[in-house]
Parts: sequence; C-alpha cells; structure tokens
Amino acid sequence: MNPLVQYGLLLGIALSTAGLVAMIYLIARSFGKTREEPGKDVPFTGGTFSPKPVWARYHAHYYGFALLFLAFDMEMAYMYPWAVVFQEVGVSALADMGVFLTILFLGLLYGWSQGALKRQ
Amino acid sequence: MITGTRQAHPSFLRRLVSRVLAIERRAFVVPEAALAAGRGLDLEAAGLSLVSTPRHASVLVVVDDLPPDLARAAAVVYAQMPRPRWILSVGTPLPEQLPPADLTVDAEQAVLAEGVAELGRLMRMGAFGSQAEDFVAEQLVTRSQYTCPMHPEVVQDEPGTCPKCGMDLVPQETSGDSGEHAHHHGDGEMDHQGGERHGHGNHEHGGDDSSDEHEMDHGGGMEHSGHEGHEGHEGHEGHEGHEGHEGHEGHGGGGFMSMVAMTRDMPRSPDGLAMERFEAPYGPLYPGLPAGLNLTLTLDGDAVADSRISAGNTRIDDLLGLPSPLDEFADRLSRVDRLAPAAYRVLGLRAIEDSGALDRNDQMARHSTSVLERQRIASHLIWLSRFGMLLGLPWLGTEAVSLAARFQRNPGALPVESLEDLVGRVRRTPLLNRRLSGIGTLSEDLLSHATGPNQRAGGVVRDSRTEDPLLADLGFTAASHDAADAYGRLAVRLDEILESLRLVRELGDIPAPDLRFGSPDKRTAQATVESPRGTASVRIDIEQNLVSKVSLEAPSSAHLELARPAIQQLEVADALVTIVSLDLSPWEIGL
Amino acid sequence: MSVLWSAIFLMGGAYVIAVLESWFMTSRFRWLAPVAGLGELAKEPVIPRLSDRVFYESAPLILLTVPLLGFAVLPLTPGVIVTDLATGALFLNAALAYVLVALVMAGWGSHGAYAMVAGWRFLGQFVGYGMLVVMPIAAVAMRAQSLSTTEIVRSQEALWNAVFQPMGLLVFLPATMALGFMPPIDLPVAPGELAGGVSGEYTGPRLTIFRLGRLVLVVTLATAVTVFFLGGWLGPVLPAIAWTSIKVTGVVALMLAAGRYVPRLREEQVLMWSWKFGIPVALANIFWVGVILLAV
Repeated sequence: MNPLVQYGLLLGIALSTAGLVAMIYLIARSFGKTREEPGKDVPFTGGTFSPKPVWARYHAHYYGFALLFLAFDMEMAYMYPWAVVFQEVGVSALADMGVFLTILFLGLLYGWSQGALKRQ
Repeated sequence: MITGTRQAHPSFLRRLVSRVLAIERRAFVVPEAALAAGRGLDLEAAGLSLVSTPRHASVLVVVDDLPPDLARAAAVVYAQMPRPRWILSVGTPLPEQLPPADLTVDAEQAVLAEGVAELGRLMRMGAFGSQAEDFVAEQLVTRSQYTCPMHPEVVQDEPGTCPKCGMDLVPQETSGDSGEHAHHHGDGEMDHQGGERHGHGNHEHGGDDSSDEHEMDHGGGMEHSGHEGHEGHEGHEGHEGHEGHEGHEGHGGGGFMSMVAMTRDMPRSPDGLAMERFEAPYGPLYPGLPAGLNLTLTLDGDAVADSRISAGNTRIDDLLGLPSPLDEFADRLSRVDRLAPAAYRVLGLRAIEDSGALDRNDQMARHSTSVLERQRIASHLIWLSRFGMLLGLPWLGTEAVSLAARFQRNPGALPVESLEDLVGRVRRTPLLNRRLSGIGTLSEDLLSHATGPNQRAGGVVRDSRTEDPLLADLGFTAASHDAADAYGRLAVRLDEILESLRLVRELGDIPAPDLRFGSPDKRTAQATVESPRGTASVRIDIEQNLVSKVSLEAPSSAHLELARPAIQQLEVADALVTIVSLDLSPWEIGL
Repeated sequence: MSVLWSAIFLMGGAYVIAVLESWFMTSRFRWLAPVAGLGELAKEPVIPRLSDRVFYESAPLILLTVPLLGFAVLPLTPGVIVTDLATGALFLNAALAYVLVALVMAGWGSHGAYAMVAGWRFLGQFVGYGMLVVMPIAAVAMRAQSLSTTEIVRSQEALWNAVFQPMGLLVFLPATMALGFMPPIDLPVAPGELAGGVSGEYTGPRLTIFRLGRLVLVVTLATAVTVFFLGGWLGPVLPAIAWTSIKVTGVVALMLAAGRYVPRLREEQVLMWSWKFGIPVALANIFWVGVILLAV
C-alpha cells in the first residue's frame, strides 16, 4: 500500500474516532442539560468546599531524572534507523553505537554518583 | 418525589440508559464505610460498588449520624454528585443539610441487601422525572463582590472604581457560609497586594483564560476571576515570613519579568527552589481516611510542605449527657468512639468498678477481656481494610471489611481460619515491606508520646495488658517490632490480631454477667484499658451516685500530634500512608 | 475487511478486559460489568469551574484516539492489519507518547488539586517508563531489520523474542503497564490516594470516553507485547487469530494479576527501578542482541 494511503487511513481513523465521540456526546446531550446548582462545579476535595484555584508553578520533584531522560530520548531518535540497518552494516554499526551508548551509560553512572537519581 | 432526578420526560432511550445505570449502584459512603462495618454491615456484599469520588457516584449512602460539621461536608459531597443521584439512609435520620432520603433501611445486613435491590428499582424508574428541585445548601452559595487591588478594605457588591485611588475594582468570590470562609476571604484580599508587588509573571498560568471561558460557558452566571485568586495564591506564600531573600534585585518594572524578582519572597523547598504551593484538603469526608479527620496538606509539588490536621469539636459533657447515672455511664461512654465502642464500654465499666459501685468478679473480668480483644480484632481488621484500599490492594480492602462485618454481626462464631488466612496473605504480599519501610518513621522523641501499636512498633513495649493477671495466666505477650515506621505498625497489628484471636479462643464463651450496681465508696475513680489504638484512661468524679465529671485521655489525641511532624516533606501518597498507619480515631479526639 | 476484523477484535478485547479487570479488582465475576459502564451516559456532564476547557475536553478524545491509531499498525494475523506501515513500530511509539499528553491535560484542565497532582505524577511516571518502552522495541527492530510490525512477527518464526531477548521483555512488560496506568503502577488514577486522580473530575459521557480509551489502550498494549515478544499470531495447530487472542488475554491476565497482588509502587520507586535497573538492563539487551545477531 502506498504510504500516503496508509497515513490517509490513519487520519480517517482519527477523524472517525472524533466523530464517534461527538455522537456519544450528542446522545448524552439528548438526555438533558446539566442542571446548574451551587457548588456542583467545584472540584471534590474530601467534603471541604474549596472554590479557590489550585493552579501553581508545580514543583516536579523528579526533575533530576527528567534531565537524564532528555539525553536518552535524543539518543533514541538515532537508534531506530540504526536498528534497521544494523545487520547489513555489521560490526562497525555495533562499534559505532557501542561507543555512543557507552558514553551515555557513563553519563548515567556519573549522574547516579552525583545524586541525580533521587527525588530532589 | 426523588430529589436527585434529572428533569426530563422519561422517554424510551432515557429509560433504557437508566436501566443500564442501575446495574451498578455506585455509592459514595458518608461518614465512611468503616463505620458500617463496625455495625456489622458489609456494603459491597449488599450490592453497592463503593467509589472514591462523588463525581463517579450515583448514590450517597449515609451509614451513621452526621454531626453538624460532617453534615455540612456531606451536603458539599451531595452537591458534587452529578444527577441523577439518590440518597440511601441506613438506619439513621438525615440531617437538615441534606434532602430527605429516597430510601431508608434498617441497619441489618439482610434488610440492607433488600434495600439495595429496591434502590436498583428506584434507579431504573426514577432517573428522569418531570420535576426536579435545585439543591441549595447555604454554604455552597457564592456571590461576587468587588474589591480594590490596592485597598482591600474597599469591598462593594457592584463593579466600579476605587474611591481612594480610582483603580478598577476586581471581582472576587465569597461564600454564603459565615465564619471560616470569611477568614479565607480576608486572606485573599491581603494576598492580592502581595501579588501586585511581585509583578505580572503569573498571569500566564491560565487564570485569565479560564475566567473568560468560564463566563462563556456559564453565561457569566457565576463570575469569578481566576486572575485574582491566582495572584492571591502567590501572595499568600509571600507572607509566610521568608524575609531572607529580599533585596537581590530590583523589580523589573514594565514588561520585563525577572524570575529572581518574581520568586524573591517565596518560600524555598529543601532543594532551594522557589515554587508555588497549593492546598489540598483531605477530609473530613475523604474516602479511606477516618471520617471527621480534617487534614489539609499544603503541597509543594507532590510533597507535603506543611499540613494542618485536626479533629473533633464536641464537648464530652454534651456527648455523655452529664451528669449520668452510674448504671448508664458505660453505655454512654461507649458512644464516644464509634470506631471502638466496646472498648469504651469496658473502660466505663472498669471506672465504675474502681469506684466500688460494681463488684469485681472473675466472670466480669473474663467477659470484659474477651470483649476488648474482640474489639481489637474488629478494629484492626477495619484498619487493615483502610490500609489495603490506600495501598492499592482492593482485595484486602474488601475482604478485611467483610470479615470485620461478619465478626460484628455474629460475635459467637469466630472466623478463625479466615482470619489466619488473611493475615498470612498480607504477610506474603510481595513488595509490601519495600513499600512501607521507612515511611512515616517516628523519632525516639515522638515515639515516647505514642501509645499502643504505634509505640510498640518501635520496640517500646508499654501495654497495660501485661499487668493484667488474667492475661498473664493465658500467656499473653505484647506484640512488638523493631521499626517505628508504617511497616512496623502493620506488622504489630497483624501480630495483635492473631494474639487477640488466641486469647479470645482461650477465654471461651463467657455469658455476659449481670451487672448489679451498688453505691460507690469513692468520690473519684479511674480506669485504664488498652484499647485497639493504645492506652485509654478515664477519671470520673461522682456526686450523689451520679457521674458528674469525666476526663478522658484517648490515644488518638496523642497520635494526632505525631502526624504533622511525621508527614513533613513526604510525598502525598506516603503522607497518607503515614496518617492511616497511625490509625487515628477522630471521634475520641478533642473531647 | 481488515478494518472490520480489527474492530471486532478490539471490541471483544475491550469487553474481555473490562470483565477481567472487574473480576481481579472486586473479586466478583460480572458479565455485565462492561455494559454497566455505559450507564454513566445517563449522568450529567459536569464541567469543573475555572477548568481549562480546551485541555479538559481534548483529554478523553486523545486518550481514545491514540491507542486506536496504535492498534491500527498491529497485525492480528498475517493478513489482518489495518495498515502495515513500514515504520509501524516507530508510529506505535509516537502514538502512545500522546497518552502522557492526554493525562497531563486531563489533570491540569480539571483544575482540581487531586487531578493536578495526578497529572504531573504521570509525567514523572513517564520519565520512568518512557525509555523502557522505546529501547526494547529498538532491539526487536534490530532482529527484524525492519520497523514493520508484520516483519517483526515474521522474524520470530524460529524463536520468540521472549526467549531470544528475555531482558527486553523483562523491562517492556512493566513499562507497558506503567504506560497503561495499570495497577500497581497506576499513579495518575491511584484510587485511595487521589480520589480518581486525573479522571476524578470527569462525569457522564466524558468519563465514558475516558474509560473506553483506557480499555482500548490496554488492548493495544497487550497486543503490542504479543507482537513484539510473543510471536504474534505464530503457533501450531490453532488458527492465527486464536493464537493472537490467547496470547493477548494471557498478557492481560498477567498484568491484572500483578495489579491485584502487588501494592502500588511509590513514584520514587518507579523512577529508581526504571533508571537504576531498567535502563542498564535495556542497554544490556541491545548489546546482547547486537552481539548475538552478528555472531550467529
């Protein structure tokens, strides 16, 4: 199949899913409107009535991991094409990626030794 | 008429979907499912599916009396349930804050099961109806007021400009409830100034957007400025006394935003970053935590930066109806703690014994010991169920509570094998030790203030039962563990379940003794029992054969004080594990 | 035709998983459990105040669309695959990355304290499992010399990847559970800790879509495990579709059993295990596969 047709099919799936969802919403809508009552739209907080906003500059305590993740995630972008041609190219491919991954792995070990791998 | 119905003609499609809705009766239980288990009710076996948020529930199940503060909280929860919604009352009158129950059943397992089936019928028939009434509780009504960003004392009901500086007034929301909310309101105004001073960086958080959208969605029916509230939030932190960071850099006026300037006065996390904090109330009706526990976590990300924890506001004199006749005192005292009524009854009886108004005899001692140990098993089972639910072990939650309910319903039959099996399975649960070790460890200092299993988990064995000659004969040894963390507390309670089971079996069936009350020979008397949560003691004053004054020392009061330091800087999940592992009973606190 | 078969498989799979999940979680076997979920349509949709409407509305939609797209590139039998993309494995990865987006949007958009914590928690969880989904798939592609999922199954004719590269499966299976926020790695929904978490503020039709999306996600993940590591449709005697069904059901049962008996992991544990154990093992797996492929 032509890749363009394939992606067209995937787009079709995405659109028809959206259509299905819209239909379900319409069916649910046909059952009636949401009755507006005081307090109904306030998020549940254990029975406490707390209409105050909560959005805040959130402290992600896992940022040490997240930085390492970025490094590894970039590497994966190279990994997939490499993986496909790996057997054709042979030993040099293993060596190339081996060096790359070793450096990355040493980076992980260094981060680990410096206490990056913990909840900050 | 069903108060929670949706207003629409019950057409074919609507009736069909109501039938489907009625297959699962998703229920939110107030005050909490544990209290039902304590009365011998197994809600899930009766056909209810318990959910953890009112948003996903169709039925509000009321299983016990609601004191005023819990009644207000229940009204909030009810308001947050999407229609169609029903109220099932299990053997208890509903408070005025809630609409009348759609169905009231007696607190008996068989009746409850029938009632749930009947509820299913109601759900099939009554999800849609031609009439529906708004549910309006006083504390849920909010109204908009307008205030000046610079002069918080300027508050008026209409939009306009500030008479002092001419700035446009900004809207803010106030709740119809007086008291507490008025206080928050005050905070908000003060915060606003703080927010202004810190610059404009925070607006981008979506506060502006959302308020616009909100108006769009609701036709401006409930105006609220996210913008104002958000700044207020930031400002609030600014006032917590972190002056140490002042004067690093000038305020970059105009359009320029300096991160340093923006975060200058904000509190620092342990890693030195200045982040915003927000509040997450966990209670008084958070499923899984003991009902009535008012826990508010101030979160820095998902770590607990600070917390407020409190419980109870009833006076013991009102609760007991003092002065109380001697022969009724124990029964009245048993109503104090709904999570361990039998233990308090024994405590009351022993106090009367001490006064000399009740003769000690062997049968009474054996009977009360047996009652106490049974209470311990039931209480620990209910705790285990709570703990299991929190840890993501739903089988433990269901089975422990069902066992506890069965045990309470039929005290004669000891479910020995099921109990031993359950304890064995908990002990064999993989990774449980890793999950719980080191969580909520009590320091030596804190440990000395603890009692009961919480203390014994740390290897400090102080158990009033060890001095009891009757138990000494039976070869009682107090369980203990070597780590004062959540795992230690679990281990001790598991051991105690088995030890209490052994004691109850050794004591055998003892008929309840006849209590003959005479006249007391002391003006004051006292008694101590080792309740499931620790050492509870009571001192009573007696005047003219009436108990006139009672002072109670309950284990949970001490443990409540430990909770706050123990959860500091823990991740939310670990903080909750710590609090549940302390097994607080809000009913016995603050009396 | 493929589309129809895939749709039937998907619906059947979602039904079976809903029944199994309800059985494993409540210890009660109920045929009607999946149907009962549709009753939620009768409930009012409540939109929390001050919510971010765009985020709030798109989250359930994305959560349903994304696993459907992922499922479209997975083969059920040699012929039955919606679209056999040459870059199928990569596309699956890309699609599933949006689960994170959906959940963070749901958490943030709801504007409730519990939901927000839950959403950001899932980001943390992602930082843990993210690489562990990607790396084993790369090793699988090394053996197949292709990113086409059909080719990946064919490459396992002699020996399943589960045997050829067991270390890959060892990290991939828990990583998919984390991706599908299945217990014990269900931090973003965490019943008991966050009262429904990211889905806690959804009601009515939106909740239905959210739950449906989650079910489809689990089907997709279990099928992915089957395709990448358990030889997809390969097996003796029985027809291809039977093997796929059996393997997928087996994988789901294994995942649910783990969820039933293991307490929920702490966020810190998820991250620690992912990075101190998972990543080294996944790297070792790539190296192992590389050496074996060149040596044999």
